Amino acid sequence: MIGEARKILITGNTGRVGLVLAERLAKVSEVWGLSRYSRPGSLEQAIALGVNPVQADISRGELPPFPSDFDLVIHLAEATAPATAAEGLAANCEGVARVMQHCRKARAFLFLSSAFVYKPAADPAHAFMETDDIGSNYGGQYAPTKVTGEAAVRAGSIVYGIPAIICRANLIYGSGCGQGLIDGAIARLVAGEDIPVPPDGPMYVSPLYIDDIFDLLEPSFRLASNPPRVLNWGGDEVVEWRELLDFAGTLIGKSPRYVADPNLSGASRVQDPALRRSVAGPLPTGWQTGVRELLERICPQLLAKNT
Amino acid sequence: MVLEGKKVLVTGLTGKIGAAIAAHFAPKCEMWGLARYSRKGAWEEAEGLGVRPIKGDMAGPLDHVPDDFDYVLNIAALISPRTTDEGIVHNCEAPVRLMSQCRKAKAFLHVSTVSVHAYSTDPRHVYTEESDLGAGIGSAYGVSKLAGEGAVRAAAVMLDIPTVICRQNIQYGGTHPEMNVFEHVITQFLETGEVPVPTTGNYYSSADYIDDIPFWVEPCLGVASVPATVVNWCADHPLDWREVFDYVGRLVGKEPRFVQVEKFPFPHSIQDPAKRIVIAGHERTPWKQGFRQTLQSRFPHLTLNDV
Repeated sequence: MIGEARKILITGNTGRVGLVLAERLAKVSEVWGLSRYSRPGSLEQAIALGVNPVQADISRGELPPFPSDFDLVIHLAEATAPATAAEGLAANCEGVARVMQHCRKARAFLFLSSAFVYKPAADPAHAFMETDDIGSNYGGQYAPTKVTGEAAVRAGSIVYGIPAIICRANLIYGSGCGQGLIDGAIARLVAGEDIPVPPDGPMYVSPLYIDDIFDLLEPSFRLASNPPRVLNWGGDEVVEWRELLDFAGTLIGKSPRYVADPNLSGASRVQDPALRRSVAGPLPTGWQTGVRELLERICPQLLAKNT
Repeated sequence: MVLEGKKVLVTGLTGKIGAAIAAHFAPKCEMWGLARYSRKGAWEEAEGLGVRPIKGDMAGPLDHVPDDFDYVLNIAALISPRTTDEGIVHNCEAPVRLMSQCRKAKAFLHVSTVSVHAYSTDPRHVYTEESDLGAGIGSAYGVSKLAGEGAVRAAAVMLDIPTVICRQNIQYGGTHPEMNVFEHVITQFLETGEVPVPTTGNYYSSADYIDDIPFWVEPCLGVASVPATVVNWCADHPLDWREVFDYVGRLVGKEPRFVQVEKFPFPHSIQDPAKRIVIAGHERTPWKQGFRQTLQSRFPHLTLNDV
C-alpha cells in the first residue's frame, strides 16, 4: 500500500514519531506534513527531510488551503497534556474530524491512539487485547479525549467511507529527544534526578522501540476498515518500569533514585501483541537492546565507560 | 416555536425521555420515530402518539430513512452495554449513521449523560458543562457515551450540522412502564420501610422531572452550533436523597429507615443548571411537587397527606 501511495499526509510530523516516519516515507513518496511548526527549526527540519510543510493548528477552525488528494493519511498530531476538556476535545477530537474532512478521498487513514485508553485492570500484569474495555483517567484530560478522538475516526470512516485503523501505542521510546515516559525517565537518570514511579505497586508495560514503528505501517494500513478496527502497537516483551530503569542504570553506572508519583497510579499497560504479530511478525528490537541504543544516542561516552 | 410544522425525527421514543418528548411535540409537527420496534405494541404506541414509525436499527445502514428532516432529536441509547465495544456500536457509531443520513438537518440534538465526566470523590461536586471528562463511574455506558459525544462532535464538524449535546441527569416521574431509580426505591420503601443510602451517608443528584424536559428541547436547538455546544439537563437545585425520602415518608405517613449499603448503585451527580436556566428558563416543577405527582401517577392507590 505504501509502495503504491503517490501522496501521503502526516500530521504531527514534527514530533518524535512523525520525524522518523517522515524521513523514511519521504524517500519513497510525496510526503506532506501538517503541523503547527511551533518548535524553532522544525519547519526547516521538515523541508530538509523532503517534506512539504503545511502550517496549521487543527484545533482552531478551518484548515488553510492545501492539496487534498492524499492516498494515505497518518494522523499523529495530538494534545498530550490538554489543560481542560475543551482544549482536549478541540485538538484530539475535532482536530481529527477536520483532517478527515479535508482528506475525505483518502484510501486509508491511520490514527495513533494510546494504550492508556484501556480501562485499568486489577492485575497490573494484565495483557490488554484490542477488544478489552476502554475508559481511563490517565493523564488528566489526555486519555478521555483520546477516547473521543477514536470516536472521531469512527465518525469520519462512516461519513466518508474511509477505511481506518486505530493504533493504540504503548510507551514509545528510543528517539533520544527526552519525550515520552521512558526517554524522559532515562534523561533524568543520566542527569542524576529523581525518577517517578507508581505509588502503589509495579508498573508493567510493553514498550515499543521507535525504529520498529516504520515496518508496522504497511500491515496496519492493510487492516484498515469501515467501521475502523483497533490494533495494539506494543512491543513483544513485557517489562516492569523499575526493571527497565535499573537495567539502564547498570549500563551507565548510575543507581536510579525513585520517587512516588500519583500520576503513575494505574499506569500499567501490557498489550497483547497477538494481532500485531499475526499481521506484522515479531519486532526486531527487544527492550534491552532498545535501551542500550537509546543510551548510545544520548550519552555514548557514559555508556562506553561503564560497559 | 422552532419545531411547529417542521419535519422532525426522534429516536429512542420508546424510552422514558423519548416518549415524553414525542408526546409533547407530535401534535405540533410532522414527527417521525426511528426505532427497532421489537417490543410488541411499540409500533402502535408510536402511532397512538401521532408519530410516523420507521423501523430501523441504527447499528446498521439507514439508507431507508428519509434524508429531508429539519430537525433530529437523538435520544436513543444502549444503557447497559456488556462491553465498551458493544456500547460503541450503539452509542458512538449509531449517532454518526443518523447524522450522515440526515445531514441536511438545520440542527441535531444529542442526549448524553452526566456519566461522561471524570468522577469526583466529593459528593457535593457540581459538574458544569466544562468539567473534566473521564471514565465516569467506570461503566461501559459512561465511556461509550463519552465516545458518542466525540463522534457527534466530529460529525458536526465534518457535515456542518449545528449540534447541541444535552447531558441528562437522572430523570423521575411519569408513567412509563420502566420505573426509574427513585420509583424503584419508593416501591422498596413502601413495602419494607427501608431506603438505601451510600456509606458516605447521603446521595446527591440533580434529578429532573420528566414533564419539564420537553420544554428544554427547542431552546437547546436554538443554541446548536458548529463546533457542538453542551447544555446540562438537570433540576435547578441539588436534590438531597434523605430529604426527598423524608418528604415522601410524610406524604404517605411512614417514616423511612435509612440503611447504609456498600454498593449504592448511583454516582453522586450534582450538575450546574445555570446555562440551561439562561437559555430555557427555570424548572417548571419544584421537587416537592414533582414527587407528589410521581406518587399520584405511579402509586394511585395511595392517599397522600397534605404536607
